[in-house]
Amino acid sequence: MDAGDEELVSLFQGATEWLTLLILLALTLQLWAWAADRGLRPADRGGRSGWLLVLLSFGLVVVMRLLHAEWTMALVLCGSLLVAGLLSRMVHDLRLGVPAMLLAGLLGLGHVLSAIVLALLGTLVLLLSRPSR
Amino acid sequence: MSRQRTSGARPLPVLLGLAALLLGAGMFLFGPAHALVLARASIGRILIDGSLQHRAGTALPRVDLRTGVVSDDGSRTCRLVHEGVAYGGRLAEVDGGSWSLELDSLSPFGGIRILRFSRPVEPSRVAWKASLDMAGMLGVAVARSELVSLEMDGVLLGLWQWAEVVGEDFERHRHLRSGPVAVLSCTGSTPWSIDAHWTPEGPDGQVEAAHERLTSLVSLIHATDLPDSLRTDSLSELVDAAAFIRLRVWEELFLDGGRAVPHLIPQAGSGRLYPVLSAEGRSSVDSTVTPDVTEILLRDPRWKGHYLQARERAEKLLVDRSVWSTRVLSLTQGLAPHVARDRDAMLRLTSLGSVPVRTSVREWEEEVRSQLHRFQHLTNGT
Repeated sequence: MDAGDEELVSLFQGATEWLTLLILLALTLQLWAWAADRGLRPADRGGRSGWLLVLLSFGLVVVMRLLHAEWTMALVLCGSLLVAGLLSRMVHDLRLGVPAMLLAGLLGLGHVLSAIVLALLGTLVLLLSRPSR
Repeated sequence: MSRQRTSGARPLPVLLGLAALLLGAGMFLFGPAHALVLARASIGRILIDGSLQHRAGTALPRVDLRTGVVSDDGSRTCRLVHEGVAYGGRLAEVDGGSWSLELDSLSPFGGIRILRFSRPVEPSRVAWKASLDMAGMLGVAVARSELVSLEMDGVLLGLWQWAEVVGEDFERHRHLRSGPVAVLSCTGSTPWSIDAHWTPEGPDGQVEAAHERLTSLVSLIHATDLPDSLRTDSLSELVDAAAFIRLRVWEELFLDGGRAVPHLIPQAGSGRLYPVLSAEGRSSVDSTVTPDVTEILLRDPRWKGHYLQARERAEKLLVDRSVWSTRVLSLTQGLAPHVARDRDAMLRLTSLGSVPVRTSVREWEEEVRSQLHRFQHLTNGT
């Protein structure tokens, strides 16, 4: 196997890793959106997570994975939460912005187990709370 | 109240479609079976290794190197930070991407001042370190080494190893002698040939005596016209024969037919040379070129009996009492979270030849287990 093939393998594996993270994120946000928007009538059921939230959260995952300095990572995560908190009141598609940023932060730190626990607990909380109207 | 709906394609089906496309491209480029292995390793690295977070940061010592000004010879000032304490020194890059660190004061690692940092090269990252530990247990003098989590200038380099560079302080570090000692190091791979090049180090008087003894030793190995009994008697006067036999037993168990190139140090008092195993890597000698010390010793029934006893003791210790398997498994379990956090690690699976694969820790553990089975197979003599 020559250097070019090794680069192709690395490219394929890197793309697979990023796509795995993106699918994990999209899957959880889809689950949360369904839990938050559930309704008794089909017309009341939303259950869609938009591209905007998925891409913004994934952006945070990418930034966190590329950073190594702990203080910088903490500041980026805090800033993202603040911005998501503000935008979630103004943009309907970003109403799950705060938990989405927390999830992205955990995935970005490589804490997959914590992210899975957050995903499950978040679903439970959204299911038990009053649907948003 | 009207509800705002998201228009357009949903993210999840689109992403799953992208994943299918990526897998298809991988199958086209690398073949279906290989693409599936690569994809499985990548997904495992994210999902399985990421789930080992609860054990991260507890098993390996963390070493932080902070480099400074570069001097004319290419070396640079450096501070080694370990458990919050900084040790000053100089860092130089040596061949093969290794780093040599010479500290101004005693290091936190047994006081050793000259350390060689390198990446463990084998697929399992464990077998070589475990075999060095076993050498120590079998009574072979061996340089110290330790697996560490290395960070340089704020960048996490992942799983590395520091190794003691065998030098004149070897016995002083072990409190065997208060002063320096002569050390002979072979630069080639055939230490017992006539034209082998040995580099001496240490105090003048001792170095000359040790080198003279080495010259006699090499001449004796090549004196094929002498009777075997005379050669073995003379050999046992020049070298610590029991130490060479213990090294031979270790080589047979762990080097799979190879021979180590040891450093030689004269014993205090008798001056007999004893072998010291380097921790930096495997150095195999082509034993077909020249016979080595133990081959001549084993022609003598007394030393043959000594060898058989040493071999039996070693097998009992390592296999029957499970010392080897326990050590390998404890190292594996201890290192798994560090490999999981090692974002730059490119672990190589022997089953895939030279293809670099970012494999998951579980697969890595399987590799270690298969090495263990190979070892048990070897020692069973089947």
